[in-house]
Amino acid sequence: MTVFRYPPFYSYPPSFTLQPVKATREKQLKLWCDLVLSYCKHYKIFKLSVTDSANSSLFANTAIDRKLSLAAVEEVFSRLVSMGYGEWLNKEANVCLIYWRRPYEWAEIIYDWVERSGKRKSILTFYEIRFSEDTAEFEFHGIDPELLLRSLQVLESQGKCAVFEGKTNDDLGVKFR
Amino acid sequence: MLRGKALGLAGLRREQEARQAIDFIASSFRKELYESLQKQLDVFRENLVLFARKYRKKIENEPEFRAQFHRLCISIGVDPLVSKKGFWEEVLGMGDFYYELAVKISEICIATRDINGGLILLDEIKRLLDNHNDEKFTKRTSKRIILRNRYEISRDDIERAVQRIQVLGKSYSIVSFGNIRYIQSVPGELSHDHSCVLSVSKEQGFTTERKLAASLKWSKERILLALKGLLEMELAWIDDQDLERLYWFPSLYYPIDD
Repeated sequence: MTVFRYPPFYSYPPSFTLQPVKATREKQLKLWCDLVLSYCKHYKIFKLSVTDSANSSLFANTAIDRKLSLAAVEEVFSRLVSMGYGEWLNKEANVCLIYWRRPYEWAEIIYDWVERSGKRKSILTFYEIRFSEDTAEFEFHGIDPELLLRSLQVLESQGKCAVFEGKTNDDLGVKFR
Repeated sequence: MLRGKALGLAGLRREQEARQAIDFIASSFRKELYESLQKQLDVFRENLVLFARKYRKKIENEPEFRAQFHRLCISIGVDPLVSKKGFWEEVLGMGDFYYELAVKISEICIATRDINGGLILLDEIKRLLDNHNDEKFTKRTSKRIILRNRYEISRDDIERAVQRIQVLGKSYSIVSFGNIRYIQSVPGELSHDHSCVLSVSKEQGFTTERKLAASLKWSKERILLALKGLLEMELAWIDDQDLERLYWFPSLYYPIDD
C-alpha cells in the first residue's frame, strides 16, 4: 500500500491548536474532517476510536512536535457525525464508524457486485461477503460488520435483500432478491 | 494723412493676410512635425518589434530584462498587456504569458484563501510559483507555457499579471505597506497596526507578544488589540504548543508545497 500523503495544513503548527475565532475554527475542523476521511479511505479503515486515534499519527505530527488535544479530536469526531460522515457505535468507548462512503453508497456497490456475479437469489453469510476471495478486489472487502449491516439494511428497506439473525456478526446471513 | 489712412486699411488687410499665411504655415508645419513624429514613432515601433524578435530569448528568460523592455514599451504607448492585438503574442508568441500567470496566481489565492483570509505576501506567491513542482499545481497546469518554458518569474511579472486580473474584476488588488507587498483577494482593510505586526513577522511567519514588544515598542494593550484584530479577520492562527503562545500568519508563509 502506498504511503498516505498528508495535506499541507498537517505541516502547519497552528493547525494543532483549536482556534478561538469561530470562523477560523470552522475551517480548521473542516480540514481535519477531510483529513480523517481521506486517511481512512486510503488505509481502508471503517471505524476509529477517539482515544486511540488521538495518539496516532493521524492527529499528531512528530516532525513539527504538534498534537491535537483529546478535546479537539472529540470535536472533530462530533463534527464528522453531525455532517453525516460518521456514526457513534459505542458512545462510552468513543468508537465511531467513519463513512468515507455512506451506507447507501456501500449498499449500491454491494448490490452491483451481487448482480454482476450472479449472486441474486442466493444466501451469503456476512463472513463470505467480507472475506471471501470473490470480493478480494472490491472496496468493501474487509468491511466492518456493523457498517455492512447498516448497508444491507438500506438494501432491505428497498426490498432487495433480507437479513437473517445469527449468534455473532459473522454468522449473520443475507438473502439477495 | 490720406495716404496714411489708405496705408492703414491696406496695411490691416496685409497684416490679416500675413497672419493667415503664418497660421497656414504654422499649421502645415505642425502637421508636418506631427507626421514626422508619427513616422519616427512608427519607425521606433518597427525597431522595437525587430528588437523584441531579436532578443526574444533574452526577454523570455531574464525577468529583469523583460521588465526593462516592458517599461520601454509603456513609455512609448505600446502596452503589451492592454493592446488588443496582443503585442506579445504577435511578436513574441508570449501573449498568454501574463494571462496564464494570472490564472496561476488566482489558483493559489483561491487554494489558500480559507487559510490566509485572502491576503498573501507577494514574496510568498513567488515562492509558491518557483516551487511549481507541487503536484497539485503541476498536474492542472502542465500544458501551460509557464511550466513548459520554465520562465523565471519576477515580482514585476506577478504585479503585471495581477493588474491583468484586476481588469476582470476588482476583487484582486496589490496592497503595499512600506516596501512590503501583498495580494489581496478578499476585500478588507488592514489598519496601520495590523500591517506593522505582519511586517515585523515576515521573516518567520509567526510572532509572539514578547517579540512584538521588543520590535515595535508598543504597550501590551496595543499589541493585544492588534493581535485580536488579526485573529478576528482570520489572518492569524494561534499555536499553544510552544513555550509561549505563537501567532501564525498564513499570509506570510504556508507550507502548501512542503
